[in-house]
Amino acid sequence: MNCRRVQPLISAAMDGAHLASAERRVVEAHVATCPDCSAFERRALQVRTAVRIRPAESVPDLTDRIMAAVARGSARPARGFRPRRPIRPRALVPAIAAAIAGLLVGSLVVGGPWDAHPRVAWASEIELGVRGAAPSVEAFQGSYTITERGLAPVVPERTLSMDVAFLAPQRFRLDVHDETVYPSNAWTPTNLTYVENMPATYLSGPSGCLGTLQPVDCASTTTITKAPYSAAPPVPADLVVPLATLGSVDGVQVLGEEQVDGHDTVRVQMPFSRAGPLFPFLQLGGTWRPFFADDVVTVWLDTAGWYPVRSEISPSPEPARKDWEMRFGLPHESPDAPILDVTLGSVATTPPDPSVFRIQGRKVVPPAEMGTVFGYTPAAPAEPAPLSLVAAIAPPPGPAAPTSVLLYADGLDYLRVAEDPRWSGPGPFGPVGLDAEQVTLPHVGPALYEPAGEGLGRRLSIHTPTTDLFVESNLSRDELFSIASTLDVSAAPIPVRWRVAHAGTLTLARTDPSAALRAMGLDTTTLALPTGYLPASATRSVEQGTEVGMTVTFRQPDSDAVGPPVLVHMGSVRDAAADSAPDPQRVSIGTTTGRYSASASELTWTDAGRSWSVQGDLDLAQLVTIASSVLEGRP
Amino acid sequence: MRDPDPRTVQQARAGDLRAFEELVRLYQAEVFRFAWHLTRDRTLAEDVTQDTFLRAFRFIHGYRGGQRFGSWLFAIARNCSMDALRKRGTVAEQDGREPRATPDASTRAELDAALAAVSAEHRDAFLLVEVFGLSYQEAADVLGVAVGTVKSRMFRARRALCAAIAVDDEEAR
Repeated sequence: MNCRRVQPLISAAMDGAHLASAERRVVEAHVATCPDCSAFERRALQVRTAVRIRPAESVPDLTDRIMAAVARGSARPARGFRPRRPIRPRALVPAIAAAIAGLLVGSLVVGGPWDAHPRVAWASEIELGVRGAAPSVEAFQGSYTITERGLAPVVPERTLSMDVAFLAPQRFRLDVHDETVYPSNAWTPTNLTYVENMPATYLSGPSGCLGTLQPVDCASTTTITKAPYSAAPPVPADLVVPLATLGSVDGVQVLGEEQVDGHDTVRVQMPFSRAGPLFPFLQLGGTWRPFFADDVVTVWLDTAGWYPVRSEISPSPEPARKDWEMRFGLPHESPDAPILDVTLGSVATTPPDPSVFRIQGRKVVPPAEMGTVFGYTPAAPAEPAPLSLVAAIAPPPGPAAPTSVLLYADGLDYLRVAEDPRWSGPGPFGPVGLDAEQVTLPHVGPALYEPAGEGLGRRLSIHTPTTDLFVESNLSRDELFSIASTLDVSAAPIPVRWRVAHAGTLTLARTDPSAALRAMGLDTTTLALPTGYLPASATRSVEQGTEVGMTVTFRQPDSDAVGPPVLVHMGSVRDAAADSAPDPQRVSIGTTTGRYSASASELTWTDAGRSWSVQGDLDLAQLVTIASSVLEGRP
Repeated sequence: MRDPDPRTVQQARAGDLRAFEELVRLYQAEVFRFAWHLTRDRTLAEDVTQDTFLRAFRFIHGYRGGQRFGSWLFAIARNCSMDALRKRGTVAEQDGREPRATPDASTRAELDAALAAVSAEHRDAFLLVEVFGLSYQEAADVLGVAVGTVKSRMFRARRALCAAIAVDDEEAR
């Protein structure tokens, strides 16, 4: 070992890092004979003594001053909202503001020795701000202008207005009114109304009811959709606080600060595929132009209220977009010309009139009447704080619908307990899959847990001898578990028939992850997984009585913003031949050659007559590292 | 760094000002020292300390208990220090004085000069680990970087400081 390797080890050991005993012996032997390294060690200890052993600095007592400022601050309205501002003409806003801001940001952020820091500082500030704002916002009203370009050659530009209203708990309304003058009446204007009032949802599409923020009372042409759980986050929520998009800033680029139409904002950028919730109207129906997954979304986020002031989509400069344009019959679009712009005109925290959220035909049950209406007392968490019960709902009957839903909320934070005492489905109650992690809730017992994803929050399915529960929430895993642990139920083990799923002749069965790893000849201590990943669940696949594959799913249980799962699969070689990834790329894994598919984020190889794969939303280098550790770790 | 009683944090999250005051008393000295090291300006460090607790109170809902409370607070203090320096339009002045003179002023002065010469990134890691006694993991939480990055920054800072002392040794000979 040479000095270049030894000195970092000396440094790390001084700070309490653990060295393997062999490593320690080598370092000690080297230091004993090397004057440079022994001098380094001696001086490093001198530095330590000099900085640690010194007289106490005179530190002022700032308690009174701080508490006075905190008390002043806490008397202000939550989130530090500015008062309602008048709607301004937006003519000046986009082009000039962007041009000036571009210059400003360029000099502000790039210049100076503090170069990289503002971005790093802002990234954590955005996460903190957005997550902190979610539970504190009580009401929101915003009016926006949407400008869309490139819908069709005869409709080069459309202008729509949008109003968004939110009132805690869990009441949302979004209205889109199309102001475009169309070339003929063959075009249907995109007028939309969406109302969510606790767990019920109302949606009216084009030619539905027009007008803004009037109580919903529509003609028979409108449709009413009531999702059985309404477990998906409320559609317009990210316009109020972009929790889904920016609650974790992974994959988000912070560009800097600027003033937009009187708001102090921070400008961030991300691909369209990650920004969907910021454009909720696109998924509510009507006619919209298509967007490419890698199109560039720029968002100007108000730094006091953490709501988006402006969001803009520009064509991606990636060559792959050309193929996509051809598929959609679009002309080539320049990355310099935005194709969608959503600009906030006015914003207020004045509570909207509750009547604008009214939906006919669903039943809110007063807490005192729950026993009579439901025929049982729904299981409720004894300690839901800081959330509180806001409604008990009897959803309309349906094949997988619960018979009761209790909704708890605190601002935008929510938790729902859905229950069905007569559940007899083929799998766990609620949208919880076969690869869900089995967890044990203190005082309650076994439960199946799935992290947030597919439009749902973090969720638990709990089976008891007398009833089945589904708990879903946007709280952290720890908070969800801690509230669910106060449910007054005793869970039973997951029934055996729920551990199995059938797909054609293939049977998938849940199995114990440690047993699966043993069967695969793997050991978690030798697998080079990214930090924090642990085995969460495993499935065996069996075809006509023969075991054909084994998959272990690894997740990050400790991380609040849960990363994507990593799957390690072992199967028969026949199963690898069936693999038909559209974009295979040959990759070296040590002395073995593997195939990598970027679209599936999967690396496959064969070893000792078995096919193997590692799959996860990681970069290729990380997948190769895991694959090498699988190859090396096997006896 | 000490850890607060989780109940105190819980109460402060619920808006209890007395609980929050307890947190202020527990951490203000360390926040002030950290801000002083970053800004090298006593008045600015006082403002930063106040601003740190103001932001902490505003964002305490965002503290989810996944990391130590002190690390979370230091991350805010670091952001506030950088904002304050940026607002003032200058970076840390390197001729700032310690709040009180040290007995071994010559070594301290050497170290201060050497610390001023290392990059801000390396200095921040060094301050957190060596001066404030944070673990690599905690420093990584504060700086928003990987543990390995803290380890290598720490080594580079230490190497620069050792080199400064080495020069000192040679001159003394």
